[in-house]
Amino acid sequence: MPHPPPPRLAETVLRALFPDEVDETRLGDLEEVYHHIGLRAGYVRARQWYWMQVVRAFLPSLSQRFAWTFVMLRNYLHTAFRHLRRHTIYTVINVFGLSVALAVAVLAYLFIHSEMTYDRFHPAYDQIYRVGTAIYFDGLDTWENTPYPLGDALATTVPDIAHATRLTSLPDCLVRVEDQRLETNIHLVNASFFDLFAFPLAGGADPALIDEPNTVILSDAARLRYFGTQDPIGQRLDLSLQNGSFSPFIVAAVAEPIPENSSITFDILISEAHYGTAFGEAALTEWFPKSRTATFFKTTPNANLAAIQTALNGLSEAHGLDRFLAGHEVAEKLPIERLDQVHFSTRFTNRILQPAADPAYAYILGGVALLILLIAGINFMNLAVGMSASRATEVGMRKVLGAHRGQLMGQFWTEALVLTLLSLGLGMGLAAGLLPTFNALADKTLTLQPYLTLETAGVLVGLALLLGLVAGSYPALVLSNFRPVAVLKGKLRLGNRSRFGQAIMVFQFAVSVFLIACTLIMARQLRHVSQLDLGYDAELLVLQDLPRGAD
Amino acid sequence: MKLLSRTEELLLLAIWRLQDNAYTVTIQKQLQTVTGKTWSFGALFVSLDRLVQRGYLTSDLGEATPDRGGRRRRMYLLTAAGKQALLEIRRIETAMWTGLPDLIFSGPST
Repeated sequence: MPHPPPPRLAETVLRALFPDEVDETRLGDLEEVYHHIGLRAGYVRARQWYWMQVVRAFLPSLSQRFAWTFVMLRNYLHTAFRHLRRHTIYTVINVFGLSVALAVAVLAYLFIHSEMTYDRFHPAYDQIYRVGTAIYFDGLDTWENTPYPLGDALATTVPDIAHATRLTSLPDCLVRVEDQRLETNIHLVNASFFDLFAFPLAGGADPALIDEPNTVILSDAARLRYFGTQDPIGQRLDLSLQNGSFSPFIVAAVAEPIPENSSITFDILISEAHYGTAFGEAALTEWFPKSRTATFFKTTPNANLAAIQTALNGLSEAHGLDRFLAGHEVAEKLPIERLDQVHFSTRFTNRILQPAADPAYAYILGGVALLILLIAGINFMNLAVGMSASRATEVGMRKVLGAHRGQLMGQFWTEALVLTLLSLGLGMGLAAGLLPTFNALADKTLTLQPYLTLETAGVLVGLALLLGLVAGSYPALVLSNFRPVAVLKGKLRLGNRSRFGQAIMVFQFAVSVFLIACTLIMARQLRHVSQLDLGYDAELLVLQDLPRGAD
Repeated sequence: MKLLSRTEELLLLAIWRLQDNAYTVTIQKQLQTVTGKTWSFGALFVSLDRLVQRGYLTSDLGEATPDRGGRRRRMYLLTAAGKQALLEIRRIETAMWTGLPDLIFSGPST
């Protein structure tokens, strides 16, 4: 009866771990005992025994390896700090460069992340669409305005639709709180608005409150503006929806702060029951996209978009919307657009949602941040090369005393990592300090708070480690390669730069000049814009929109 | 001359006893029977290699048998230096043991 051979994997592991001790005869010894146990107690037991032997052989060497790694690491850290303290100017220049670069990278990341995740905080955002109206007037245009009855028709006549809702904007209204009159935007919705969109209410209030006439839901910003620190629930405010007559409303709930990257914003939400008052009762049934009503729907999972579009075209034809197309054949008469594409889309003319943005800004900023990081990294390497004259002796001495090349590499890399982690701390502080200025420039309200998570910390530390690894690679690979005899005899030729070093130097200066030139050109352009003679004196002109009902 | 460690002493004694049949498996069995402890092969390999390196043992390739998967044995043989080291450690131990006051009854009374 053939007996199963000992586990081949275990043999391979043994051979790999102990190339000096394990040869054919040793494997033979193990195999002999293995068969002995196998015949007496079964081959399952024998296999267990074999693996036990592997583990017992490996454990002592493992703990030893571990202990030595730890000891060496402590030594690397020790020498790294000593080196950094002793060469203050080198450290300051390096840390300054790296921390500025990391601060820029963090700010750029905040901006890009905010732009790229616009409107994605709504659950199942990729099933939410907005509908527009195709209008032919001096060319094809897509209006964000939709007929008011469209929202109701969607749910009944279009396939694969789970929910539909409307958002009607009533701009330039007046709100009266106690004796103050303030201009504001009012939005009309019904409770289904909260089914589609994630705008939670403070204290878990019921969104159905919005369907009561003469109640309002305030945004957190509006609550602060109108009521400050008072409890706003149950307070009265007067709204003028048309023709200067105020009617009383009661605050029913307050929404949690709206995320900064939301295309949908609001201050005051009231019930759609007031639509007739604001736009006239006839508008309730009119298929005419004159009011500022945006229509949204959420599809069922795996919905057939082509079928939805066909049904929408059918609606357009059935209700005579084709008359706005001036006889032109248009494939999408009520075009749809997915929510997460709204922010960068120029197809719709936005008046109800936030205006669209150009993704180019995000890309440019990201590119600049990468370039600056690259410059800081190159700067780091160049400084390391500059220091190499004084370090060469150190390397030679260490090698003479028995340091392996791997250990020297570990030392230089540890030094680089200490520098980058130090810079990361400073850079984060710098980013936090510069954030208000950056927000003012970028017209954003970014904050660091949502990013204070373990995940972000991991990403940042990972980034710093990567930077340290890349930037520290030159000293780690080149300095550790010095031949000790040549160095100690003073025969090492320094200042003889490789082609690679020269290329890097040229690249660094080119990028620096490019960035400085861009900054100067932009600054002069902006000065030109602000100083250009417009033909009138802007100082003495005032532009005032008249709010509704401010006769 | 550096003194043998206890493990080395036991290994050399086992090999001396086994004479022509000393290879890792028999050595391990011998040690296990006498000491009642399991000896891992990893530990034996390392110690045997060190003893060979110090000249107390020589090793020879023996025959291959089917129960070893066709792999040959590494047979160990005590050298003169090994025998000398064993005698030396025995002399020291005997010297240390002889003339000791009675171990059992002279300790602190219990």
